[in-house]
Amino acid sequence: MKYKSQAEGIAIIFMALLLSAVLFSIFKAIFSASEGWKDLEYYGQLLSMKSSEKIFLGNSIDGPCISSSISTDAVILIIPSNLNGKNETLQVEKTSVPVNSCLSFSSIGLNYDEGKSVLVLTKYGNAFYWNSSLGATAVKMQ
Amino acid sequence: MTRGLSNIVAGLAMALVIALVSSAVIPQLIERGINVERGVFCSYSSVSVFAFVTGSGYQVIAYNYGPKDVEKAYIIYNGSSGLEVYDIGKIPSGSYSLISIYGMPLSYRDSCGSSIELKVVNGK
Repeated sequence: MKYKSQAEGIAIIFMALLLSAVLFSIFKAIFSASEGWKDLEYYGQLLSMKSSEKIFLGNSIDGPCISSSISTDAVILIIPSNLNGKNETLQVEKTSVPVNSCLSFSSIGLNYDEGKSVLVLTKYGNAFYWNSSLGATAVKMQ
Repeated sequence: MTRGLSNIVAGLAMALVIALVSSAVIPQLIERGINVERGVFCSYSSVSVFAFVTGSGYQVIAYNYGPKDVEKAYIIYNGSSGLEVYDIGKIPSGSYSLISIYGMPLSYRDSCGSSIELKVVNGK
C-alpha cells in the first residue's frame, strides 16, 4: 500500500512536469504566431502607404523646403555635387515631413545650395532622389 | 508488495511515454514558433541602404524603417586585401547608421537574412 501511493505520487509529479512543459510550448507557439500576425498586418499597411507616398521639393521664405503626400518620417541627405572635394561633406538629418506645409531645410539644420542633390529615405521604405533639374517631384528610387 | 511494484512500473512507463511524445512534439512547436517569427520579421527587408563616393573612400547609410531592431548588420566591401566585412552592429527600429568605408561597398547583409546589393548614389 505504501509503495502504491509512492508510485502514484511520483507518476503524478512526473506527468505534471511534462504536461506543464507541453502547455508552455503550446502557449509560446500561439504567442509567437499572434505576434507574427500583428507584424504581418503592420507590413500590409506599410506596403499600402509606400505606394501612395510622394515627396515634393519647393521654395519657402527660408529657402528650399520639402513636403510629402502623406505624413511621414524621413532621413534626409544632402549630397554635394562633388563629394570628392575636401571641404564637402554629406549632411544627414532625421525629421518628420509634413503634408500641408513645406519644411525648410534650414529649419532642420541642413544647408542646401544649387547643384546639390537630395536623397530622402522614408519610414514607409521609399527612397526618393531629387536635384534641381527634376522639377518639384522627387524621383522614387525603390 | 507485487502490486506496489507493478504500480511503480506502470507509473514510470506512463511517464516514459509522455516524455517520448513530448520530446517529439516540443521541439517542433518551438521550431514552428521561431519560424513564424523569422518568416514575418525577416522575410521583409526593412532597411534602406545606399552608398556615396567621397574623397577618402565611401560612406554608407543604412536606415531601419521597420518595427523591429536589426540585431546585426554588415557591409561587404572590396578592401585592400580582397573582400572584407564591416560590422555595423545593431540598427534600432527607426534609426540609421552612417559609416565610412575605405573600399568599394558591394552589399549589405543582416541577421535577418536580408541581402541588398548597394547602389552608389553619386557614382559615375
